[in-house]
Amino acid sequence: MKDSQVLKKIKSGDEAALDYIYKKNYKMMTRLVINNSGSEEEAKDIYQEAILIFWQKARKEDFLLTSKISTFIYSICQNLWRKELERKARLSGEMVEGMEFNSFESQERNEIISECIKSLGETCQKVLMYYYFDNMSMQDIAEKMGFANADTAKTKKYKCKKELDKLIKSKYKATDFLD
Amino acid sequence: MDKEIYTEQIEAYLLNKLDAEDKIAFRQLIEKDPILKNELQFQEEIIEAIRLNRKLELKARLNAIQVNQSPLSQLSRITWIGTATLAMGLLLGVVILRADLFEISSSDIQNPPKAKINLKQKQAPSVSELSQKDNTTASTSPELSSDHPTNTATNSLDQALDQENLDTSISSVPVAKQELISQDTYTYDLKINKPRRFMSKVDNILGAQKEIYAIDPEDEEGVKGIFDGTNEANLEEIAHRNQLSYQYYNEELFLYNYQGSYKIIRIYIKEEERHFLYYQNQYYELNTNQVEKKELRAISNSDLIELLNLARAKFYDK
Repeated sequence: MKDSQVLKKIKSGDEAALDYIYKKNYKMMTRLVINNSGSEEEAKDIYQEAILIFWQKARKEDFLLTSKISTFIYSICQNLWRKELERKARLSGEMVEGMEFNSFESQERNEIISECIKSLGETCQKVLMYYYFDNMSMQDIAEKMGFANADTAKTKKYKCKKELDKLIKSKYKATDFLD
Repeated sequence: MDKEIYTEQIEAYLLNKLDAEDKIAFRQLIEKDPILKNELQFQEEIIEAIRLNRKLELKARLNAIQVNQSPLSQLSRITWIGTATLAMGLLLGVVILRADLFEISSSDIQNPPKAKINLKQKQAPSVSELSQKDNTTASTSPELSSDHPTNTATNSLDQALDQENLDTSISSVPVAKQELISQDTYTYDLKINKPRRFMSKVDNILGAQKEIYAIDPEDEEGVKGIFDGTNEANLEEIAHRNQLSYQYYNEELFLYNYQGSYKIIRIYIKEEERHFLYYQNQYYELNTNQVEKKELRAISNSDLIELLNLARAKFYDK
């Protein structure tokens, strides 16, 4: 498949394009991390992150690719891995003790939110994820979900989001996050 | 303010859909209103959680994909199979030899070679299955593949990337060569932070002057702050590095370590819009997909500089 075909598939929200580029570049990209003091697991993780960043970027309407897809993903991998190495260096330099405690509350909140998302209907979950993560337009969502038109998608998204907000707020109240 | 409008504004802000002016106004509003600030944090957490859920879903999808082993373990597997094949071949050779010794005078003289060919055919696909799991396009000819070991010493990024298809070509190489090639494939060394070679692409676009037309930046709303170098919000000093560098964040240019003014020149070269920075009599190419901060290197190609001089004269020296 040519890069232009892959991009076209990505634009249409076809996840199979993800599978394709993932497989095609796997060795090349993981090698970058492994050759720079990373483990296989880290390499895989960084590569997956990079692929998903690429997916999100490529889905944006004004996305303009000025290099090969593989070159682009490669540079994302480089950046991510450099950041990770910097993070590791920082952590070993000074043990940040307070950090765990600070994030505990937000972690608890995240768990509540995650639970609430999962308790939504499948359609709602998908619509929200496509909208917030995949940067899909209402038209794209309508097509992917088989809705009548973009307006239906918009209404659906609005209702789903409202339901989620309500659900989370009620759970927050129960756990005293809100006064 | 109406609560509904609140929610919409918050979402537009978080999804970066407000224009520059509204963004500033909204930020000021947040600072004044703790309830709004709380709501913003609340919404931000929700959106982040939705994104994380989707990310995990897609990661699970990727994890389910069968990919080739990592370079190291794959290398050892290929080597092992190569060795195994070699050993099998040797063993068979002995058998053939013995068969030749004992049956040379028999009428069934074609039997031993046949057996050898059969085994090879059986053995070879198991290697190609390994290296071709990624379903890439059909392999090249053996002559082409045997050329590869001489190329692999390079460590330039582009050439390294072009090696992607090398492994698929292994399968068509005679068994004896496989070990050699698979080892050489992994000899090049790719270092993080190695400067990217923008210039290699620039070389191709010379002589394209007729196709050029620049965008007049003043035609576009919101761009002014970027090119006149006076927009304070775009500037951040990084103390430990003095190199002229840049990054794009939320589609905005952030330039570091410069003094005075600079200009952005946008030209179309072969129907592709490209961005260049003009600063202290030097030109630099900007890649709008550059999300991480990156040091700038002046363009040295004289044809390109001439081209940029033309564009600059046309749009800035009116």
